[in-house]
Amino acid sequence: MPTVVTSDTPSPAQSRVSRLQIWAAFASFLVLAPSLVLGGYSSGLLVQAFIFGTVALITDIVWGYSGVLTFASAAMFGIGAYALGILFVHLSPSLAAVAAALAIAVIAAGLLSAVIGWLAFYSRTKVSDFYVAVVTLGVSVVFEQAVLYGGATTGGSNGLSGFTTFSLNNQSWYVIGGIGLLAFGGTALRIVGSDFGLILRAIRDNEARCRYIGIRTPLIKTVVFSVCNALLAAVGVFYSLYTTVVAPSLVGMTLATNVLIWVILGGRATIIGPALAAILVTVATPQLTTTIPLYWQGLLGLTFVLVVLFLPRGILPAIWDGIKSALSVVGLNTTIMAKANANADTLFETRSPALSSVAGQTVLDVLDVSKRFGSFQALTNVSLTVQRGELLSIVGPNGAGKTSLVKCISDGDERSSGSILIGGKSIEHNAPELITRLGVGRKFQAASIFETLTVGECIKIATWKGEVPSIWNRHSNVVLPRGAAEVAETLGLKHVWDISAKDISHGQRQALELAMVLALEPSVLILDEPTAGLTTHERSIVGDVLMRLLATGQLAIILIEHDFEFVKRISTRIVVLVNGQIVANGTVEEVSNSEIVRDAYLGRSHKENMK
Amino acid sequence: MSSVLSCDQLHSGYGAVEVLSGVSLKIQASDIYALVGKNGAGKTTLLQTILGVLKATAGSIMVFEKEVAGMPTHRIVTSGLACAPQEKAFFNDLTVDENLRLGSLSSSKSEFVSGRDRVIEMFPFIANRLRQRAGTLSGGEQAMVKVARALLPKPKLVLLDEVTEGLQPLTIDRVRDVLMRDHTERNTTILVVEQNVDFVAGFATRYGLMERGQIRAEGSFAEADAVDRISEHLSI
Amino acid sequence: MLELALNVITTASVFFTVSVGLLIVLSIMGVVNLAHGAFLTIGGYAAVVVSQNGWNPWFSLPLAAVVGFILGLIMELIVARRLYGRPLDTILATWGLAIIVTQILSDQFGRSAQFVDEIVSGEPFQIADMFVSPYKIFTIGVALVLGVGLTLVVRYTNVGIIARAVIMNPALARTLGINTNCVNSITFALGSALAAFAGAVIVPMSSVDPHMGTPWVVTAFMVVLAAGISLPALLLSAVGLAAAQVLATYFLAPVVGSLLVIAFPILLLRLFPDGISTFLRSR
Repeated sequence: MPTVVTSDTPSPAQSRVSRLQIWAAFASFLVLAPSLVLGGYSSGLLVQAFIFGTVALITDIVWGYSGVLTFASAAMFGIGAYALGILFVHLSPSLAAVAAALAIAVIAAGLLSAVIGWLAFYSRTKVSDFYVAVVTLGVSVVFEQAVLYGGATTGGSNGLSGFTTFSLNNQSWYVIGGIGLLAFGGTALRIVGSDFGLILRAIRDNEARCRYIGIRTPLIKTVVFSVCNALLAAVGVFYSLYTTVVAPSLVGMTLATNVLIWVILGGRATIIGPALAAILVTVATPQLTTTIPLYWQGLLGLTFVLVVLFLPRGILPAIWDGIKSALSVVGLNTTIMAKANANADTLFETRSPALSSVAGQTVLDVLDVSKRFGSFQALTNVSLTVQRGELLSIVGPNGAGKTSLVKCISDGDERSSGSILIGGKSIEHNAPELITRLGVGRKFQAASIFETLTVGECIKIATWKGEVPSIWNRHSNVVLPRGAAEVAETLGLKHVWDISAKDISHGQRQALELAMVLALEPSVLILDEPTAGLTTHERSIVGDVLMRLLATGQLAIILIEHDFEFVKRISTRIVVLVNGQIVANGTVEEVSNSEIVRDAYLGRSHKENMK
Repeated sequence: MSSVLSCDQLHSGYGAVEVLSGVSLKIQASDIYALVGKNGAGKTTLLQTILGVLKATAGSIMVFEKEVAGMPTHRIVTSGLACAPQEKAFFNDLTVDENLRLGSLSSSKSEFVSGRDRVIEMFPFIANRLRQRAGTLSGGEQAMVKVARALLPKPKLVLLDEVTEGLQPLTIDRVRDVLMRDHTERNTTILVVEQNVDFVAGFATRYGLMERGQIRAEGSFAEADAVDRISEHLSI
Repeated sequence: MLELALNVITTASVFFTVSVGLLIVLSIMGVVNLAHGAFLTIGGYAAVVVSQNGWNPWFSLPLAAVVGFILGLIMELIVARRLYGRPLDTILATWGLAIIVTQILSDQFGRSAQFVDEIVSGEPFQIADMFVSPYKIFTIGVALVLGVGLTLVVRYTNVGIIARAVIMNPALARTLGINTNCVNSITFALGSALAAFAGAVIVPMSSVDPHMGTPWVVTAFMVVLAAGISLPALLLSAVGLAAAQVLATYFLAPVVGSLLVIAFPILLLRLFPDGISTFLRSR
C-alpha cells in the first residue's frame, strides 16, 4: 500500500524565487546599463527594439505556448498605434487622450480577438489547423487596407506623423521602455512557469487529450489570445507615443512578417528567445541596411528558412542544447539524475476517495444509439446499461463499431441519434470536456499524453479535473486518488517522474495515460485496448489494478480488448458487437461459450450465423 | 528452389511501440503461405513492413532475392509484387476502372486492357461495374475487386491482407477459386494473412502461426494435423 | 449593368487564373504555398525581361511558366520536401522563400515599378452600349483555357487519375507503386509554373514591382480556401468572390470589397470546413 508522505524539504518554489531575483537583477542591469553610455540615436533605436521585443514575447505566449499560429500581432499592435495617432492628431495630445487611446485600443483588440477566438476555437465542425492562421492573416490584410483607405483619419499610405508628444529625453524613454520590457518579460516567464502555463503547454501538445481531462480549451485559448492581443494594442499605443509616426508600412504586413521571424529565430516557447531576436534584429537592421543594403532582407529570409528547416525549435534552444550536451560530456549532468531519484518518495500524496456512491447504481445508459458516416452505418440502435462495480467488455471483429460506441459515449457530437445518460444526466450534444466533468474518463487506443511535459506534470494536470489552476504560482504537491497512485507505484512511473513523456517506454506511456485518466476519478472509465503492446507481466498488473478499483464500487469500467484471456479474467459482463449491432450481452460464461463469439474472434462470416 | 520472399529477424513497429520482435520466414516460389494469428498479433504490421510503409528497425527483408528493407514503397511494389490491403483499399470517389488502372500503372494501355479482360473473366460482375464509383460497391464486391486489382498486372508475388473478412461463404469460395486458378496458371506465389481457417485449409500449402510479433510455429498443410493446430492457435 | 456583369466575369477569370496553381498544390500536397505570391511576381518580371529585350510580348507567357516550373522544382527539392508532415512549418518556410525571392528581384531589377509591353493591346470596342477592352476578353480566354484544359487532364489522363489518387489516399497510392514524392515535386513545380504564368497574364492590371504578388496571394488564398479541393468549386468560388468584390466596390467602397473577399471565406469555412466543394460532393 502506498504511504501518505508529507514533504518538509524546502519547496522548489522558494529556491526558484531567489534564483528568479538574481536573474531579474542581472537582466535589469543588462537592459538598463547601456543608456548610461549610448548616444541619443542608439538609445532611441534601443527603445524601439525593446518595444518590438515586448511584441515578440507576447506573441510567443500565443504561438509558442498556446500553439495558436497568429499573423495578427502586427494588426493588434497597429490598432493601438493608430488609436493614439488618430486621437493625438485629430483631438489633442494629452494624458486624457492617451488614456482614451489605451481604453479604445485594448477594448477593440480584445473584442476582435474574442470574435476570432469564437470563430476559430469554438467550432464544432473540425476546422483545420490552418484556419486560425488564415483568419489572423485576413485580419492583418484587412487592417492594412483599412488604414490605407482610411482617408484623412488615418492619413492613407503616408500615415500620421509628426504629432506632438510628451517631451521626455531619450534616456527617460529608454528607461520606460526597458522597464516595460522587463516587466512584461518577467510576468510572462512567471505565467508560463506557473501551473496555468503547464495547461497552455498541454493544449499545444495535445488539445484532444486536454479536452478529455476536462479542460475547456476553447475558452482558455480565446481568453489567452484576447488578453495577449489587448496587451499588444497597449504596447502599440506606447509605440506611437514614442515615435510620433504611424504608417501602414510600419504596422502592416512588414511587421507581421518580422514578428514571425523574431519568434522563429529566437525559439518558440522560450519567451527570452523571441525578445532577444527582436532586439538584435531591430538594432542590426539600420546598421546592415547601410552596409549591405541589398542583401540584408534576403539574408534574414534565408536564415529564417534555414531555421525552420533545421532548427525548428529556434536558435536559442539550439544553443542551450549545445551547452547542455557539452556539460554532459564533461559529466556535470549526472547531478540532475541524482536529484530525481532522491525525491522519489515525495513525488505525490495519496488520497482515499470520498465514499459517496454505491455499487449497483446505474451510471451509464445508452439508449438506441446509432451512428452513420455518410452511407455507412457504424452503429445501429445500440442500447445498454452499466452499473457501478461492473466491468463491461465490448468485443467484436475489426470494424464492428467498438471504438465508435465509446466515442459516442465520450463526445456528444458523435452519435447520429439516440441518447446517452451519465449518472442519470443526459450528455446532450456537449463537447468532451463537459462530458468528462460528468464523470467519463477515456483512455485512447494509442496512448494520448503530453509529449513535452514530464510524467509528473502530465499526472498533475489531470488531477485538476479541468479547473483552472494558479496563473502565478507553481504548486509542487500532487494529490492522487488511490487508483492513480497505485498505477504510478506499480507500473514504474515514479522512476520516470521527471522525464519528458516523449522519452518513456511504450508500456510506461500506456501506464501514464491510465494514471491520468484515473486521476480524474471517473464514474465511467473507458479503456480502449489498455494492454496493447504491454508485456504479460504488465498486463497482469493492469488487470489487478482494475480489479481492485472495481472492488471499491466507485466506478464502472468499459473495456475494449482483443486479448480474450484478459477479457475473461477481469470482466463481469461481455457485450459482443458485430456490424454495429449488439449480438450478445451476458456473463463471461454465457458469452464465451456462444458460437457468435468464437466467430467474432475467428473472423468468420457472421451473416449466416445470425439468420 | 529460390525464395521469393524472406524475412530475417525483422523488427518494426509504430514509433516507440515495437510490434514485430524478430520475425523470420521464408516463402519459396509457388508457395501459398497462410500467415495466421489473432487480432493484434502483428500480421498487418508485417505486411506493411515488407511493403516499406513502416520502416524496419532491424533485420532484413528479401524480395526476389533482393534486399528491400529501407527502400521506398513504390520501388518495392514495382518489383513484381502486388498487394490487397485490408483497410482503405480503394480510392472511393474514383471508378472501379480507374482503381484497376491505378493497380497496373507500369503496364501499357494494351496490357492493361487484356489484363482487365482476364480479371473480368474471373469476376464477371466487374464488367458492369467499371463506371461505378468504388466506394459504392458492397463489401463482397470490394473484396473481389481488390483481388482483381492485385492480380491484374500479373505479379509474381501477391500479398493478401484478410480479404475474406466479413464475407459470405459463397464469395469466399469464389475468391479462393480465382486465386487457385491464377496460382496454377502462372505459378503465382501468394502470401495470405488470415483469421479464417476454412479459407486457407485446402488452399494454402504452408502456414505460419503468428503471436505477439513473432512466428511461433510453421508447418505444411500436407501434415494431417495442420488445421487442428491452426484452430487451436486461433481458439479463445 | 451589363458592364458590371462583364467586370464580374473578368475579375472572376483573373481570380481563377491566379489561384489555380495554389489549389493544385494545396489539394495534392496539403501544403499552403505562401511563395505563390513570389511566383506571381516572377511571372511579372518575365514580362519585364521580354519587354526590355524587345521580344514578342506573347513570349512572356511560356517564359514565365518555364521559369516558374524550374524554380518551383528547386524549391520543392530543397525546402518543401523536408517539411512534409509539418504543414504549419511549410507555411513559414514558403513565406521565408517569398522574402528571399522578393529580395533577389529587388537586387536585379530595382525596387521601382516597371512597365511592360502589353500582350493584348488595342482600342476598346463597342458591344451594344458598352466598351470592352480586348485585354478583358484575353483574361476570360486564359481562364477558360486553363479551366477546361486542367479539367480534361484531371478527368481523362493517367496523370489526372494519379493526381486524384494521391489526393484521396496517398498511402494506398504508394502501396500501388506510385512514387508520391515524384508526384509532389511535379505538383509543386506545376503550381509554381501556373502562378508565374498568371503573373505574366495580370501584368497590365498592376505595374511590376518586387511586391506585386503580395496582395494577390491573399486573394488567391481566400479563393482557394472558399473552394476546397475541386476545380469546379474553384470556379464557383472565383465567381462568388469576384461578384462580392466588384459589387461592393461599385456600390460601397473598395475597402468593403477587399473585406468581403476575406470575410466571406472565413465565415464559410467556419460552417463548412471543406468549403464550396462540400456542396458539390453531396450529389
